[in-house]
Amino acid sequence: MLFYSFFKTLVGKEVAVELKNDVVLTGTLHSVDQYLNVKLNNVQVVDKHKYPQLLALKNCFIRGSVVRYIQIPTGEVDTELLQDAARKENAPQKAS
Amino acid sequence: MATALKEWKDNEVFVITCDGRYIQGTLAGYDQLQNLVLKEAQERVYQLPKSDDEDTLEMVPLGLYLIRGDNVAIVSDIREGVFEQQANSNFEGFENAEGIHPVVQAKF
Repeated sequence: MLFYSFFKTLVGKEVAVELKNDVVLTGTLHSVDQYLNVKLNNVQVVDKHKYPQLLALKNCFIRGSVVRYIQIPTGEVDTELLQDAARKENAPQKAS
Repeated sequence: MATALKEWKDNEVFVITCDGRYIQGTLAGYDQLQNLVLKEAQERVYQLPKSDDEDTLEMVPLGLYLIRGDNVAIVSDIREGVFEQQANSNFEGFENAEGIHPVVQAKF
């Protein structure tokens, strides 16, 4: 759930999503769900000359299972905090 | 969230499947796995014409169509006028176009 929460903090930011079919789409992150399905607003195809068929995309829903990478703006991420949170989530549960 | 597709219910949408096909239709139904029901679905088949009597775009009518969620890559609404403009300009800029590759789960 950590990365779900993390992506929720990025809503409204510009992101680039690379799909497993090598298409790269940029747009404003509108929403994300627990499967990391993402919804982008105002989508632009990065390689317009290669994929003119995709110019008609405006707002799109991308299934989490086809996402390869999501590129996020560097300035928006506190990597120390994220690493810390990741470490905590993976820490062995204390016996209670 | 299961509501992600709600705003497009009964609207014209455009689906790109995992095998790289484009299917356009009216979104009649969906569920949380992105199984989709499209009304009056049409497949948009693009090709680079080898002779003058071949068209760049062929629309294949599919009727009522159900797409299983596994095979869905992108669901999108349609930016108005783009398809018309591309058709009117005789698909200018499509010479260097490539098909959408199928989704591959892992590449080695």
